Amino acid sequence: MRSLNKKKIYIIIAIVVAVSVVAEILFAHPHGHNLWHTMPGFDIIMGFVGGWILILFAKQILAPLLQRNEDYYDGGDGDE
Amino acid sequence: MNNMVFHPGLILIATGFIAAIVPKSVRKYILAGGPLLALAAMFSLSYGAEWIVPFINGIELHVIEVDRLNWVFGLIFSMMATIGGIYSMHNKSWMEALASMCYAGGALGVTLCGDWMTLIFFWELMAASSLFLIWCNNTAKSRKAGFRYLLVHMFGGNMLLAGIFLKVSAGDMLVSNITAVHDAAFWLILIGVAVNAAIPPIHGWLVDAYPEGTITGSVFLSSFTTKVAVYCLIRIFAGTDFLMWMGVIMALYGACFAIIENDMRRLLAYHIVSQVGFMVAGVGIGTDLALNGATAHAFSHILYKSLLFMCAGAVIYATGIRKINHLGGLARKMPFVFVCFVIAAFSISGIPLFNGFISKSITITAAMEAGQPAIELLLQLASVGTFLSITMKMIYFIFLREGKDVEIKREVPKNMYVAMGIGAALCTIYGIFPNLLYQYLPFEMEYHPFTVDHIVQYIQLLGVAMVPFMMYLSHMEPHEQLTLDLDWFYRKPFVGLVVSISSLVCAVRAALGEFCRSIYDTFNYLMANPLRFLCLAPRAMEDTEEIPDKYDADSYRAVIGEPMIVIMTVFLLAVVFIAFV
Repeated sequence: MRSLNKKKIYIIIAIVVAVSVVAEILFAHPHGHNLWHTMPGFDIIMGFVGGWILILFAKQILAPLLQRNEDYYDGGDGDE
Repeated sequence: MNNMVFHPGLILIATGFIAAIVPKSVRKYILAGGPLLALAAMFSLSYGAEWIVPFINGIELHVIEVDRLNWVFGLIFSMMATIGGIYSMHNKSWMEALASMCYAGGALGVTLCGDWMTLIFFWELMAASSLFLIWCNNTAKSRKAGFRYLLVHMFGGNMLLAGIFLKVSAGDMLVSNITAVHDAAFWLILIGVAVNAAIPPIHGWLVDAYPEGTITGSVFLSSFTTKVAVYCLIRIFAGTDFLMWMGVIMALYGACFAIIENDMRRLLAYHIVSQVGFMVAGVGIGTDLALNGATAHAFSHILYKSLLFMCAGAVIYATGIRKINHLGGLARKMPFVFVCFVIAAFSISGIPLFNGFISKSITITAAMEAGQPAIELLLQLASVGTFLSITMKMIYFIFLREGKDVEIKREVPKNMYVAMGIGAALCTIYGIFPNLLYQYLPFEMEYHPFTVDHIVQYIQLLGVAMVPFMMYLSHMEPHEQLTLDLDWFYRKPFVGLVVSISSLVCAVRAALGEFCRSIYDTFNYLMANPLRFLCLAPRAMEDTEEIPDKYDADSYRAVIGEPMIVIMTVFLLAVVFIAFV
């Protein structure tokens, strides 16, 4: 994905999400009564913040803590 | 009902044995045809069908006892055996054909049976036969992973057996919901089933063993063991509260590990943990809607997860590469595999019009209706993780990115394409016409997946989740490293523990032997010449290292020490016996 492509993709996402928010305001009948069911566009926050939380948690905390070299478990290339 | 019934599982097992003995040229037709017969037998079973076989001591084995719940599981298992059979038609190995069919047959046996003893029999058959799907890969890694797989499943199987022993000896012969009393049998059976469902902390075997299976074997492995366990959880443990939280932990755990994983099939294995988490959460919520959600999601999951494994297998078959960081640009070289993979990835992410959407959303809605907002939101977060690691990461790094010149070393056999095509078609058909699945679900429910509310929710959630991935793209490529998981405990410290305990035992044994030997030697030395007791032995009668020049009877006389030891030991034992008995 070159940077030009990236820009196009961002614009497409923005348009799709904007249309979905309008559709949500006009046509949706939420089943739940909590804030995240009734507030239009809550899932935008959820997707963006949740996505960052997962990526950063996995890449910045899990990976340095748990990743080792491929031969960590004695190589595995031969039978003992 | 005394009508003749055909057991689909036994048909599959028979298929396996026939496939193992016929010549290679015939085997492929058996592998495709046998499961189709099993599928037909499944359709011939109606709700309420029974097959009861008398056993010892007046016990009856309920080999078949069909109701709405196990029929739908039986249906998907027979469908999967058919797809898997077609996918593995090109295989040369008779052992793999036998193992895969026995494994699928065992899964159907567990699903259709009505009593504990038949259940444990087919359960162990599954564990034993699935092991060979890993060993057939015939690498040092797969042999080792297979042994670990065997040990974990022997542990789980024995827990289940112990629990079933308690149940059967108390007179409960039939499989039923046992959540009323939290007694020993409850916990033992739960641990046994939890091992197969890969509920943390006993999930390490799955991500350890599944990537080491054969290309075709992994497709079978991904479909049966965990989903049979989900069926058992629904049947036996529906409504067990804490399973709800275990499910959420699984869903997030698998999603996080998948983001950093580099091995294709290990990444997919983490998503088995994640998706089974949705089902386990449904079992924990325990309402009719939630149990329908768990059942429907197991059904959808088998279709799209096997499709993902089939596509990954096709990539490995063609390129010989299993690491994501060595792959790239395959969309143009393997377009059919690419399309199938995209369909499967959209399905697992829950994008509307694909089959993950119609089943995943039931469980999330059930969490909302049961008044569990935390569960609902965390499961949605897990959906974001699934989308990031499968749809975004795998599609981009394996199929789309430029700059990697991956060589196609051999053509993918046609039968693999056919199986992938069937899987992709089913994922789409069930996604567009959910009532094809909903009509078979075990409980009554009022649920419509295609409301504006649901659809815009997923469009927003997943559309926006693409943004962090693209912003962080330069850091998203997985590294040439392996990720430690909880199997570390039995691969590192446990090995050290076993080695140190056995060295301790060896040291004690050696020291004890040395001690006894010194007693024996001293005794022998003294008995060789009793005058030594009195320190009266003449110098000439002392033992010498050198052989004397002339004949000396003492040098050649038999030592009386050994007979003396025997006599005195017998004497002492006799005294002890007379004194104390």
